[in-house]
Order: sequence, then C-alpha cells, then structure tokens
Amino acid sequence: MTTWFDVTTILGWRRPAVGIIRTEAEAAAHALELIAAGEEVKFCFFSHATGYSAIDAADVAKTLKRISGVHAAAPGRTVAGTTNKRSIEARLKEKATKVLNRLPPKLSGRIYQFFQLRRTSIVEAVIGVRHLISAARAFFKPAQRSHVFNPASRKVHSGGHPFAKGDSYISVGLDWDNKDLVHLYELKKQVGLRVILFCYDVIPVRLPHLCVGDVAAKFANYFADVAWCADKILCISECTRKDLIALLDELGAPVPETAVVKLGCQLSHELSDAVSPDVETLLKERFVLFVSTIERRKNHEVLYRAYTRLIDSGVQDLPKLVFVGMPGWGVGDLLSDISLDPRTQDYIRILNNVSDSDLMHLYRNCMMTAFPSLYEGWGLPVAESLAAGKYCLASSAASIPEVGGQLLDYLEPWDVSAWVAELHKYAFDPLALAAKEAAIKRDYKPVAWKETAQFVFDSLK
Amino acid sequence: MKTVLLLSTYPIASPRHGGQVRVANIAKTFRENGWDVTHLAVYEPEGYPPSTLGANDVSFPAGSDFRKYKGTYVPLINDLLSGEFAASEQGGFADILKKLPPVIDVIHVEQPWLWPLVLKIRQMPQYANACLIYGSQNIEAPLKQEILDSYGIKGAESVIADIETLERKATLEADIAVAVTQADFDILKVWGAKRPLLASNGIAPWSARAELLVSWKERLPQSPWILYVASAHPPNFKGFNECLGSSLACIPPDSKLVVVGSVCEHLETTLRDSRWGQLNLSRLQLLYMLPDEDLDAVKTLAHAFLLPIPHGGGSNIKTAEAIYSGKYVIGTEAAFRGFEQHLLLPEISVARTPHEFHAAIRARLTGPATISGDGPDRASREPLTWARSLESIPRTAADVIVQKAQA
Repeated sequence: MTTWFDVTTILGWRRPAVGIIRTEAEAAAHALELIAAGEEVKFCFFSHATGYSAIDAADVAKTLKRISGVHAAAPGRTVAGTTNKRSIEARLKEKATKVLNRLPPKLSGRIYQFFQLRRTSIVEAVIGVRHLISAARAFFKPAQRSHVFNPASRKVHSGGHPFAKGDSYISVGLDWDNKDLVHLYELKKQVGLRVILFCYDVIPVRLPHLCVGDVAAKFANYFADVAWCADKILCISECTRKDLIALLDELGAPVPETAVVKLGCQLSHELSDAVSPDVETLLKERFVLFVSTIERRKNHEVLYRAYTRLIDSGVQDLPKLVFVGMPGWGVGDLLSDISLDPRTQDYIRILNNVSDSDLMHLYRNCMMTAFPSLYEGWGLPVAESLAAGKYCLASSAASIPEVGGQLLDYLEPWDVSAWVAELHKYAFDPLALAAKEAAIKRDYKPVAWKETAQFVFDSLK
Repeated sequence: MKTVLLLSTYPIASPRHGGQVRVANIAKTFRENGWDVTHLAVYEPEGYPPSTLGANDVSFPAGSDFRKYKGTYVPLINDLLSGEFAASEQGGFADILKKLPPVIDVIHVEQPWLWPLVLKIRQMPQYANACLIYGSQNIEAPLKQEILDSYGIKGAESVIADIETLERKATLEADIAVAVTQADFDILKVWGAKRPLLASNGIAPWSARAELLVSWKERLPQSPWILYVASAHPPNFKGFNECLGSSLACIPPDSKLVVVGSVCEHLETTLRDSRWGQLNLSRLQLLYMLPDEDLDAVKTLAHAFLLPIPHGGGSNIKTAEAIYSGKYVIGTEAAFRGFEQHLLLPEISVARTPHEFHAAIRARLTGPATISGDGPDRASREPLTWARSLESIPRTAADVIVQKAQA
C-alpha cells in the first residue's frame, strides 16, 4: 500500500518558501528520504482539468531545488523601496495594496474582494504569460530551458487517478485554492483512501472581520469538506485543534480524529556575511523586532500606541521598533500615522522583502522581539525568536502561549498600558532581559522541520 | 343516497398544499362510502388561478370591504375574514345560496373560518336538521399567533382572541369535531366537543413510472441524499434554521438536500442569507414545483426524508408519506405529531436540537439503507392511507344522522 504525498502547492509556487509552502516542501524533502530508504511513498498533484496524477520523485527534487534557489538568490536584497526583482504576483499585489490603502476602507474592501475572488484566474493568467515567455525563450535558446514543472506535460493516470485500494494520501498545502475536495471525497469513497489533511487555522471563519471580504462562508465550506474527506486532521496548535473542533461541531460536519503537529522553527539558511546597507545600519543600534505581514490582525497598532505613550511621557533613548513584513489590507491609516507622526518617525522602521540571511542578522542582533497578534493558528515568529535566543513580548491570544510556554510573560493584545510597562521594563533593565534570555537558551527546544515532516508521515501509523 | 356539503377556504380541483389534499381526500372518502358530495370553497382569487377552481367555488375578492378587520387591514388573516364575507348578504352568501344542493344531510367544514356560514345555512328550514362536522386541522389561534409573530405583525391580540372564540364555538356547536392529532383531540374534548373524533392525515400510495425513475436518477445525486417536500407555508421555512442550526455541513460533499415544492425559493433565501451561505448552497438542490408523477419518482429515489417543522399544530401529510415510504425519516417531535405510534420504527429519528439533526443526517446518509430487498412492511403502514385514516368520518356522520332521526 502506497503513501501518496500531494505536492500541488509547491509545484506551482514561484516565490520564497514561507509558512505553508515551507511545510509542504519540508515534508516533500522527508518523503524523498523515505523513498531513498525503500519506503512505498509516491508523489501526486492535482489539476482541476485532469484530476490527480502521479509525479516522479526526480521532478519533486527539482522543484525543491528551485524553491530553495529562490532563497539562495536572495541575500543582499532588503529594504522596501529598493529595486528588488521579485515575482510579478508579489509586485502587483504590493502596488495594488498601496493604491487601495489610500482609498476609503469601504471602497478598498470591495475592490480588494472583487480581485480576491478572481485571484486564481489572475495568477493563472500571469503564469500563462510567463510560460509563454519561457517557451519562447526555450524555443530560441534551448539550453536555457528552466526546470519549472509544467503539469500539462504529465499524463493523467489512465484511471483518472493513480491511487489503489488501501493507499494513503497526505496533503498539507493550500487546499482551499488548489483542490477539489468534493472530488477527493468521491475518490476516498471509491478507492478506500486513508486521507490526512492539515488545518493551519480557522481565522477566516472565527475572525472574518479581520480578513478581506466575506471569507467566512467560503472557508466554512472548505472546513466542512476537509472534515468529510479526512480520516485525520493535523492541526498546528492545540488552540487551532480546539477551534476547529468547535467550528465543525457548530457546522454539523463530522469531527474526524485530530492531532497537533508542531511546525519547525529553524530559519532556512545559514548566516551570510553580505548584509544589506539598511539592515547593516540597524544592526549598530538597539531595536525591537516584529516580524509579520503588516495587517490588522497582527496588531502593529498596539506597539505604535505604546511607543507614542512612552515618548509623550518623556521617556528617551527608546530602542528602535522594526517592522519586517509586507503591508497588507486594512492598515492604510496606521501606516499613514506612522509615516507622518513626528514622535515616531525616528523610532519606527518598516522593512519589506527581507532575505532570510538579513532576517537572521536581525533576529540575532535585536534586543528582543514583539508579537502582539490578536489571533494566531500557531505563532511562528515567536518560535523563531526563541530559536534565536531572544525574548519576545508576546500576545496572550489564541495559540501564542503554546509556543513559548513558561519562558515568556504574555500580554493582553489590546492592553496598551501592559505593552508600555513591559517595553519600558526590558528596554532599560538589561539584567531582567538577560535573565529571560538565559532561561530561553537553557530550556527552549526548537522543533526541527525534519521532526515536523516525520510527524506528518508517522501520523498514518 | 346521503348528501354532504363540504366547505373550505380553498378549492380542491387540483390539490397542492396539505389543506387541499386533506379536503380532497375527505370528499373522496365520503364518495367511496356512498355519499353524494358537494364541495364549495370561499377562496382568495389572488392565490388560486381559474384552472384550479371547482364549479361551486365562490371568490372572496381582493377589493371586498370584508377584507378589513374592524375597519383596518391586517395581513395574513383573510381566512378569518372569509367567514363573515360568506355569511353576509352583502358578501358572498347570495352566490353561495345558488350553489347549495336541495337536501343536505351533513355540513362538513374544514377549519373554523367558515363556521358563520355553516350557522347561516342551518338557519334555513330545509337544512335545519343537517349534522354539523367541524374539521379542526389545527388549533388555529396559537398557530396564527406564531405566523403573525414571524412576520413581525404586532397588535393583533383581538384577532387571536376572535380566532380562539370561533374555534371553541365551532367545537361546541358541531355534532362531530374532528382532530388530526391526539393532542388536538384532547383539546377539543376539553373544549366540550360532543363527539370528538381522531382522523389523522394520510397518504395516497404512489408508484413511479420506470422512465421517470431513470431520468430523475440521472439528475439527482448518485450518493444517498435527503428529500424535503413542502409548501411555502411559513413554518416550513421560518423554522428551518432553528432545526438545522443554519448549516447543511452535515450533508456529505457529494450529496444534497433535495427540496421540492413552493418552499424552495423561501428556503434558498433563508439558507443563503445565513452565515454559512456558500456552504449551504453547495449542499442544496432545488426542484421547485413538480408535477405529481415527477414527485412520485423523486420520492421513490430518495434515501431519506427530512421533516424540519419546529412548530405548528396539525399533522403533516408529508410525515405520513415519509413514514409510508419505509425510508429513513428525520424530523422534529412536532413533525411526528399525530404519528406517535410509528416512532419506534427503526428508520425514524426524532431530533430535538441542531446537533441531533446533524448527527442523524450524517448517520443516515453514510450508513446502509434500512430497507431490505422486499421493501418496507406495507401491511403495518396501511392505516396511513387516506382511505383508512378518514373512514371513521362518514361512518360517525351516518350514526349521528340515525340518532337525530330517532330523537
């Protein structure tokens, strides 16, 4: 009986591996090791046009190399506003977000939702154009043919799918965009597949007001279908597991077996000596680091308010506050305040498109990190902070306390006074900070991605 | 041959909704027992096209002054107002009078609305000895209160009080008061009915044509699916979310809730506007109104029947059909009112909460069929047919006529 690992998401991914992509890539890498060790593991992908098809391990290895190469090519590219050559999708998204953030929220929300609903078709069109360009280049210069996987070149299994009775199927990818779960459910019934699926969070349903447009209805449908398809759902935290079960219970969907899998928290690459100029300047100063997409749910606002309150009360020599992440939807007013507020202009810095190497430098050289998010499925930046030996001023919301356990003191995310007090304490009490760091270095056990991947495959047992 | 005058507020030439079906079957049962039947409906023309009318039916026009309740318009109470219209010389009585047969042994009125007309007719010397039957389909006052509340209609206390007075009066004055459920029977008895009678709703056994079964099988889900057949009567969709918790996630991704009847557009709105709209629409297949022979095919192909009726009196004809089918049936306690004796059948599930509905639907749509190759046990379900459920009405009426003649 074969274990099939679905690599649909990484096959179509053209940007640096983050979050879900990283999880799928690491699990795929582990699957390659299992295959090398003689285990009956195979890869498959899904296309709406052709259904499920098998794909060679060699093609997956090339895909992993490509994704890894995107990381490797990145060092030295750093600060927002510089001329980084990023994917067309990412650049289009950033430009569109900037424009939308200037519009009234009601209007920008509608426009965003309009395009969000058509995102798949837009991305498909962009990819199509790029394939056309790639084909043209390959035609004129065959040696330069890239190794980007082209699903259309693969033959669909004669039976419409490659699965056999008693096989197992694992998917950890962007299934709400890339899969047809009704089809998977039919296959499961038809073939007798054992299905393992993932749940990263239930935020679109639980906190739809912090997402773009009416995502609750779409994701409720998705989670219900996941529940019907899966024999087991792997959740990335106990909080996510509880929230998922509560949601499925409310919806009336079946509640399959669940388990909690911890995501790896190693940064993917070794430190490079080449540091971008903006980051290099920062490394000479004291700074608090907040790594996250800049969006309402992440609650950058509480840090901005805490800083303004500290400054208004006459506190001087505060550390810099560095936001690393791409601006998202719904933060136009906040970003405008930050850029125009003379009190914070010298303190708050926003970096975008930071390479892994620069990010490692930032983690290693920051005073501490901050993570005031209103809700998380896990809280990877907290884990990364601890893996780098740094204390984190962390929110008490949702899964975040699961990440740091007893090593951190958690703050109510909307309680500005608490953030003011803790920022002040650790900014000016190096002994207190050193004591926390010593405990972290002594007690924190970072999870390796290999352990995560192993857990995923072991969950079939 | 004895003669019965059968009165209702809807025509029965092409019965669609439950009330019409019951009255049509009462007429049929009288005829099958040797009676001459004259049916007369005082109907709202905006609700019934000419093609559905019988020869004796009398219109209650939309512009009539009788459409006002104490000088003002109150929505959804034309049934109550039709009684005064029918009994009044300025209303429809002159027309009605022309259509009455020369001899009437029994006047059977379904629902209390036309009771003023019954009394008016019996005041006439030639009909003074007629036996009066009051067919109480529901205990109407609380049901009307629920309907008015569900539409946010306030200040109708006197309407509700008048309805209860009318119901009690009909119950007291009738020679026979017919209930459709044991609970209603008990109420009529407490109200002082002379001869309370229980005659539940029934069904007309159906069989589907083979070619229709083939064509519908292609259009319906290949996996087991659940059927809901209902009219646009407000309790049929107003309480749906209350029963199912606004979510159809209990239905597998490859299956559907198949809905037939005029409830479709209302139910679609209800489910689409809920928080889980997209999910619900992915589990919904609406067939709208179907000809009877198509409905027979759909009912034959269903794996399970859903009866999500949280409130309301009376007994649901759809419940009788569902039980008769021998397939899985999942419904509220209220939906099984009048059919309590069937609740121990293995294919029947009573659900009191959304959680219980969800669990039952999941179990039924993923479990094996209960029906053996031989089909359900027909003999034990025969009492569900109209012929059996209503047979006591003409029999009791005949007894009353004899008693009156001897008195």
